[in-house]
Amino acid sequence: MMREKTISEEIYGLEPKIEKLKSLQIIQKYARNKGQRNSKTTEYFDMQWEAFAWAAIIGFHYDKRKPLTGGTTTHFKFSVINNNSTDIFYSLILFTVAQDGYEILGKPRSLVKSIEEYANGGFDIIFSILAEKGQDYFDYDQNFLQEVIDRKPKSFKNTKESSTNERLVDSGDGKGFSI
Amino acid sequence: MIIKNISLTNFKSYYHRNDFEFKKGLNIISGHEGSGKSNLFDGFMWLLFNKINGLGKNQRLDESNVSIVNDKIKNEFFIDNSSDKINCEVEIELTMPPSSSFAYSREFKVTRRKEISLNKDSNGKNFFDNTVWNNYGSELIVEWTDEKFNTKPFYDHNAEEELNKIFPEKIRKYIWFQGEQLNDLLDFDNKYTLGKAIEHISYLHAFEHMSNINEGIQELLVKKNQNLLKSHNKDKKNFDRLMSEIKIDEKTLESNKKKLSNAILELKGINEARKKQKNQLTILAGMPILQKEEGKLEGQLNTLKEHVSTLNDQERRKFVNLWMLKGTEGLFKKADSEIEKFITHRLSLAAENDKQLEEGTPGDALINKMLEKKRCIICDREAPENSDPYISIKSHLDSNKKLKTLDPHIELLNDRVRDIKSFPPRISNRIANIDKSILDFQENISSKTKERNAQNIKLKNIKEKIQDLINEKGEGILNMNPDNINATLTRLDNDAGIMNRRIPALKIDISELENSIKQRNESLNKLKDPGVKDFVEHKLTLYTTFLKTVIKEQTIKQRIDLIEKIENTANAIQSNIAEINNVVIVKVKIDRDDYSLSFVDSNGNPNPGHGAQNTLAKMSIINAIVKISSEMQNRAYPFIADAPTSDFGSQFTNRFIESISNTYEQSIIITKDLVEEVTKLKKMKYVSNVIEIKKDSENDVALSTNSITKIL
Repeated sequence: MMREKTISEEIYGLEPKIEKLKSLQIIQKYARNKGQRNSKTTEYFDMQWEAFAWAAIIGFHYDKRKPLTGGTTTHFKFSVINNNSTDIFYSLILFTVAQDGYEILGKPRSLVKSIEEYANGGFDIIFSILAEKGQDYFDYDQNFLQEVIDRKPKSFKNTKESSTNERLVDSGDGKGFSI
Repeated sequence: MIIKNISLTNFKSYYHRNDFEFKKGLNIISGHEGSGKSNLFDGFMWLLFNKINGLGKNQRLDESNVSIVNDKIKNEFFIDNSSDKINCEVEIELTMPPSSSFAYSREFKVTRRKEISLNKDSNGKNFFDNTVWNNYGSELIVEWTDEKFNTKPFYDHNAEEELNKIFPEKIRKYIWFQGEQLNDLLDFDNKYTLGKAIEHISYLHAFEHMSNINEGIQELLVKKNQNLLKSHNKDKKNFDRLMSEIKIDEKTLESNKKKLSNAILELKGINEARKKQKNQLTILAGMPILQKEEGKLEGQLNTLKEHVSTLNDQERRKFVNLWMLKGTEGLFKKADSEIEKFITHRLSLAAENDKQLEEGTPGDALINKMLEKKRCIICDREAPENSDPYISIKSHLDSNKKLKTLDPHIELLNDRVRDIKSFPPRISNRIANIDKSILDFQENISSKTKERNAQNIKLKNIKEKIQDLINEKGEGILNMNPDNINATLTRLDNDAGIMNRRIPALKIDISELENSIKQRNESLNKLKDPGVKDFVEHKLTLYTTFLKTVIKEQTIKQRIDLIEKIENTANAIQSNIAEINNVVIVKVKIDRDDYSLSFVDSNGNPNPGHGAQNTLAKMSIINAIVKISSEMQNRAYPFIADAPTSDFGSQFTNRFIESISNTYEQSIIITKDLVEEVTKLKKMKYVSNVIEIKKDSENDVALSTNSITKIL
């Protein structure tokens, strides 16, 4: 009997979509293109997947899920994330499981979509941070750390139960997100 | 001088001892021909000259066969043979007043004797060989006694010398005079005859002596002078050498002083250059330190920067790999919960749906627990290892695997859950340490950053100092090479060392040269004076030369004066004698150069004259010489003459002897011309003593050549 693909194997070849307008700006601003360092810019991340993962994690942490709108683009496959950091790769899967339930493991595309949407939410949060603290806030390495330091541990309820109390919610008033 | 007596013993006509006593003044020995007058004169002659009458001018008695021994005594010996020895002896005693030679008047006794040994013939009779009458064996003894009764005898050669002091040889001839033998005794033809007399009686001999001494001195002085000249020349040479050396020294000194001055200046320049180089070195000494510090700081800073950069990289890596998961513990817990939820769900599905599974069959987890505890939990019984209960419990392992496959979707999920179910606890554990890890990292990076900042400040300060130095000393300081400066300084130190050695050496050289010049100048001063004219020897040479001239002039003058005086005195005596007889006399003329005697008339024209004139003239010369000699030398000699007047008449003879009595302190005139006038003479005032002798016929000896003399 042929073995079924693991979820990681299922999504290896998939490329997360990124909103062209906003998210890609963040990625391009804070991550080097294909690992090449640009001496003239302050790129905290060596690779684009890193910025994406960072945004996704923020999205998951703040439970900010935002469907992608407008034009999207892809720049890397999930295998790249796995190849560079298995923990991050599986963390994203696990976060999806945490947020969407274990059934998501049977739906790789949904899983990817979920990741994309949380990442998209994360990008929004990043934008709101930049909006709040200044566009150059993440020009300083320290502030990337500061961002994670500022995070507070959160407990998440079962997926069947609502966890909106801790979710970042786009107020829709254009002021960004608030926890 | 006064001759007191003469004794003749067995001498010629004097048989045994015969004594004649003389007095001061005129003594006349008168006797007829053959009475022994000339033998008496011979007695004097033999005694004083070791000569006797009848001998040639240059004939020595000891070389003649003339017998001086009395014939009678000889005959007596031949006949009687009474003795084998004959003593023939003449002795005079005389008195000499004190003189420059002796302080007290002396009594002299002069004795000449000849002791003749006779040989015996075969008959035992004495005989003698005439050859014995050479003067072989003649013995002269001179003995003096002074007022203090000091006495001293002289024999032979010493006696001859002593006799010469009494009767100087040069004047002796003029004391003894025998008219008949005048020309034999005094060879006036010989130009030196008068010359010698003149030399003796005058100071000419003194002048000559002085001249000899002077010449000797002059000779010595000349030699000395020559030596001095040589020495002077040597000194001159030394002087020139010293001058040359001084000039060289002075030149060297000047050169050395210039060198010293230059060396001092050069040293000063070197020291200034050294100071400058040292200053530069001091400045540069700061610069390298600063530059080194700068380099060090830059290195440290680079290291820190790299470190910080590495930390940043690490931070990014950590951030990307783990830290960015911070705060997601809840998500992992929820994911884990979802996984457990699924597992439970699946198990419940399995329990519900898998009927093949025996009721009460525990799961593997429980079975493993029972096996571990070795007890059946269900029945609560022990199940030791390998016991039946144990084996029974173990047989239920994997009973689930043996379950019939559930819904494929569930199994898919199950597979995928299994794929991810180990991550939540593992990552959660890691996340739990993120805070600390970040904190540590932050502290670390903060520390490194602070360190880097501090280093930056230090570096900035150093750079500012360097810049200050550059601003102060100019950009050139950056091009200064300490090695080059050190090399220059070493060279300058060497140069200074050379100068520091050279300067004292030059100072020593200068000091030595100055001393050398001083010493040479002192030596030069000692040599500077001696001009030849300043030599004492030179002055003495001039003096002796002058003296030589004076002596020569005085000698000539003295001689001429003396010759003139002799001429004048002799001619005066002649005139005095001649005026009695009113005879024409010939005047004597002595050549000024060679003392040759000539006769001139009253007008000065040559006139050889006849016998009596010549005799008178010659005797006058003799008298003049003796008289002048007595006057000049303050010493009176007796005049002893035999037959001085043989050529004269009686009146002329009287006049002559009177003249002689006035001329001489003592005179002994032996003559036959006054026999008839003896009585008269004895009364004459100018006659002190008249002794008559005659032939002693009784004692005449047959075959004898001589008669025996008898003193009346």
